[in-house]
Amino acid sequence: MTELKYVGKYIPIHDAYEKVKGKLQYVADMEMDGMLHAKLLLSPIAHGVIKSIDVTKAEALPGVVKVYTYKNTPQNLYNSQKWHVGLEVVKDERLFTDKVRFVGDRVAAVVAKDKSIAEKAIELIEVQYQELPIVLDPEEALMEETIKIHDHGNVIMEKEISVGNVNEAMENAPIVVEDFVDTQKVHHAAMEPHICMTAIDSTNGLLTIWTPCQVVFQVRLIVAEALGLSLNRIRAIKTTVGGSFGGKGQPILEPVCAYFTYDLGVPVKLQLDRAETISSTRTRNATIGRVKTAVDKEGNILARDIDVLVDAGAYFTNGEAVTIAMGKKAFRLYDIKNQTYKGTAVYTNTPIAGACRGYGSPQIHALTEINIDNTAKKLGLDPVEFRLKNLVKPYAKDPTGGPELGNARVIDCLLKGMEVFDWKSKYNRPKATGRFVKGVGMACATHGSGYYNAYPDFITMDLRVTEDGEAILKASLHDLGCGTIVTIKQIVAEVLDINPDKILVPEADTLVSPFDSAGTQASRVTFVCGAAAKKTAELVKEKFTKHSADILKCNIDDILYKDGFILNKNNPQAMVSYGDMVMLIQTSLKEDISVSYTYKSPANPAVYGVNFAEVEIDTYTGLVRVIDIVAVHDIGKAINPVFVEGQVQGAIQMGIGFALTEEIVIDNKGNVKSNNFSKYHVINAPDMPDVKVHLIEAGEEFGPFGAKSVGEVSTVPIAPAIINGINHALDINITSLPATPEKILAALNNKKNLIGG
Amino acid sequence: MNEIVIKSPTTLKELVQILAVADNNTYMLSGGTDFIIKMRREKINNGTIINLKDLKELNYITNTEDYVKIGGITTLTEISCSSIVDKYATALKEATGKVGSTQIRNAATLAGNIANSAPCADTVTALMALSAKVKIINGSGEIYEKKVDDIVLGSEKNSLKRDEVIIEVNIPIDLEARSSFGKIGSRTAVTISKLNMAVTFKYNHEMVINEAMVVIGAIGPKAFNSSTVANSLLNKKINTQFIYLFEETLQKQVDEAILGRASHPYKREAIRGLADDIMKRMFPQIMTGGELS
Amino acid sequence: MEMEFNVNGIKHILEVDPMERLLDVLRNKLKLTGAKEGCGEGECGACTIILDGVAINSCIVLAAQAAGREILTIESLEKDGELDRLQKAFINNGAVQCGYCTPGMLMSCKALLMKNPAPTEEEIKTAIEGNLCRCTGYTKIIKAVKEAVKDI
Repeated sequence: MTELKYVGKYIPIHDAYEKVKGKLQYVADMEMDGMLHAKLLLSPIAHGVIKSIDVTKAEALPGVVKVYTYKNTPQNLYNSQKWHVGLEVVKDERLFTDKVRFVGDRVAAVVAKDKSIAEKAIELIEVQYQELPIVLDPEEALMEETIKIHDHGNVIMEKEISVGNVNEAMENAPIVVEDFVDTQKVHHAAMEPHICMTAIDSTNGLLTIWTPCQVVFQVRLIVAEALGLSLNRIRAIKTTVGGSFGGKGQPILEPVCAYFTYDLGVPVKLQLDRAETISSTRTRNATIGRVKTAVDKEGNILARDIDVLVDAGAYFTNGEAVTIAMGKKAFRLYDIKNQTYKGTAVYTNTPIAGACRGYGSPQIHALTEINIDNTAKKLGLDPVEFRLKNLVKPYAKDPTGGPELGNARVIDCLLKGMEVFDWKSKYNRPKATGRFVKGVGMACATHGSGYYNAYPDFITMDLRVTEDGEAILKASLHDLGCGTIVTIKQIVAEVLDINPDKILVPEADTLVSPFDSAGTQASRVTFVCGAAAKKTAELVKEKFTKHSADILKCNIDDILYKDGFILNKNNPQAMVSYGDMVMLIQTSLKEDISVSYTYKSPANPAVYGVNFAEVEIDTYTGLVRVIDIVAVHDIGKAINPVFVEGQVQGAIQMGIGFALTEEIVIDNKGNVKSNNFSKYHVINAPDMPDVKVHLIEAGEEFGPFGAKSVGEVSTVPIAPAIINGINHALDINITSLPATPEKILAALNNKKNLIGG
Repeated sequence: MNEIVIKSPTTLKELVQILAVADNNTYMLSGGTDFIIKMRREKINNGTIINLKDLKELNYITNTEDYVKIGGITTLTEISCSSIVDKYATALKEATGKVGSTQIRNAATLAGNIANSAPCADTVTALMALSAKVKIINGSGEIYEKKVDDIVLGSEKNSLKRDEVIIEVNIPIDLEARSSFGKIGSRTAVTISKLNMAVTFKYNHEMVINEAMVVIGAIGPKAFNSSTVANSLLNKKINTQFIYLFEETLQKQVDEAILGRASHPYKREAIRGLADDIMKRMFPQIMTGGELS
Repeated sequence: MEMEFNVNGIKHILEVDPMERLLDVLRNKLKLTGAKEGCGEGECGACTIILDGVAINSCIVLAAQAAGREILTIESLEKDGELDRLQKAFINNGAVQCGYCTPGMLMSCKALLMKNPAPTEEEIKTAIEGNLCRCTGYTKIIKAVKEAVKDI
């Protein structure tokens, strides 16, 4: 392969310069003439029917323009998860509800001349509720038949995925290890709280939405459904995102804010504060899991049985999809012939769950990877050795008939990490007997690269070489801070041999971007959109070559591209710049060097990550310090290695929080106790360990230059690796996330009592 | 329409004039790190806010032979970096260095922290162990002293009258005493104390304790001075056995204070960590920490 | 109330509501929108600016308290079209992702370097302990600060 000029190099994120200057505008920084400000009234109770709402005092406050409730807004049902029109899913959300289902449900809104007036007016709305009994615990939701959160009952769905004969294998197995693992609701904690701005664009009459979103076409679809408008009346523009991680994937504020503008005809901004963002937007689904793993004495996995109860919160959103996504992952990491996954999702009167980085993978892997360690322990095997016996090999088949795993390099990751981390000696060293005890843990994980085989996964791109020799790529791309735009530029630059600085890649806008089926979701962007960019660029180049040959009067095979010039290799002196060539082609051939191409993803290869963690536990206080992390990823090819490292390091920060400190704590009335950052503890710099990132770049057939995904898988193995490290250090069995100091000390006390008694 | 008025006196004389007309809707604003959050949360929108930050004359750390004197608007950063505080009031240096984040410590003041009277206030625990007093000025221009212990009522309530302002914190200097502070939160830094503790010990050349003060915070509405624990340490020699005794009596004290509460099982264990941290810092040559247990 | 603000070396006389926070005045009145609001409670650091030489959270300081004092915002770092060494180092080291924490993070680091031109890694971590970042895991931010220091 020829040496790559742009791919595999670090180029800073496209808007880095404006970001470090503080000049880049986020929606919070945008203003429009005559813009009004909206504030939501969120339910203070977890379950109840609204008996009456009196808005007269609020409306009478000077500066208030209008108050909205279920009484004067469309009541069309929608599901904010629905990102493509063919997705059949239960619709149970409305702009404003007459029955509140969690503390944070939307009851009303005030639109006023400024924010502080809106805030004051909210206090003046008088609501009387008929309170209903509440269901907070998913296990209770499963059993409860009289308290119905929605009319169709509390159980959203049940789904089983099964291969082989689990019962038979279990019965005959010499060793079966069972674990119960629960995971908590967490907040995405993007630094930018949820926000949206809407206006009627006076130049074209379109209801225009500026939103830090992940899928503009989803925003357009949901707003159209909620407001009962045609798609063509709505324009969604993706703005700079101050972090999303799935949290801004589902349109939450967009339909509400759009309705205010639709009704009033003026620009409106709706911005949540942190407490509202934590309690009323979306969370990661909490889970309660049971797993049984059967092994033979040599450590080969014979069968596995998994049962997961998923807490969807108060509305359906993606409760079903995430439950199924979790199950699928269980079949793509180890070679297990007999396996059953049963997933059940329920409603509870708690904050709504939605997409969250990893989409079920962190939960299912916490369950299975803690159990894998416990199984190894039972066998008396090093957990790395046990995994090595059972991990999938490259090009293994998904036993459920799922997409091909592709060049699955998890074993390479494991071996590399083991060596770099010095696993053997750390795992086997004697434990300290004093207050501070160190331990090591590791875990493996898998995730996908797009939607192929599950949902439509295609994107249309429109690429053109301009008259001055630069290029413009129009596509529905959403950079969430991960470097998508530069990544795509690097790919196009490599194919066309144009400096990435000379390629314009605007972000998604439903009015100007060609259609994309799924947006920035499902770890699809580099693998699918990147491949689309590569293919489109190749087609452009083909066209450019063909027409250049006509201009230079030579064969196609004689055309050479060199440093921004095109030449006939038999007459290398006559070099023509890209721009001049485009001009000549336009003039003489009446042709445009542009291609619009719809790329359909042909694959959804598995990606793998393996994390090694060293932890130190203060056995007096139960506090855990993560000292060292080695993260190894099977990425195929890193288009921009610094971006990849950044993704992994940030994902580790998120995963440490999931393992140790982050939790949306809900009291017995359904109130979120940890609704600000003084109580919701994300990991800050002093608690963040050094993260050493290593990449296995073995190439993936359908990925651009061999690349596959990393953004989501990188947050998956870390939590079980840390929990396994704690359990290794202290010889306890923590199976409940987060592993708070309280849980650790309780486990230590239990151990002491068992030994003592 | 409701109205907030801000007054920013620049001299004590001006302050007194403003205090003279203080009413129930008068609020003292110092660093603002607690007050502004409270003001917004509780939607305070009428009254008078007295901004104390412009009282430049109250920004100082000095010492006499008998006292360390800290002006009311001195920030926690300034205190945690002060060599005077380090020398004579180590527990306060340690406590101020562990409050909130760098940005919070740059704004928050010691007087504000006392007046805010949060149950988990780190500085209050330290000041109580140092037998600190505050100097107060009132609307009549009178200046008098009160014990920190008497100012802080706990649960975010203080005993200050509406026309009283803390203008100085006085910490008695005792060259024979040594103090230290420790805290446990959910993170290493920027964390609210789940438990904190400050001690002052006086001991003779044979390392036998002859005076002790042990103050525990965040296990009640306010930090409290545990004479039970302090007394149990009297006449004991500071050695490796000492720490077991210290930990044990602390655990008993926690049992006594919060038995039956959800936080009890954790706090009765974790307090050992605090004792160990503090002893290790004060007596590194004797205490090798948990390695003994 | 009319007050005088000294922001980035320029004096402004502004009519300010007593309830207004410094962050509001900077963003809404002076249109210096670099400082962001992430939590409104001084817990995330996105609104960090430098007041009289030290980093503070502008969301928990009333504007009235900052009147007459020296305020530096992110917009002051670039001098005569040239980025500050910290800004350059952030770009060169991949320390910027979504960018929402970046202005606050940079101002915390700037305040550190103003006091301490050669900080240790621990000191850098302490300086940014009140600045949350969800994208980078801080690793590249710390690396960037070290590189900026190395250049001095």
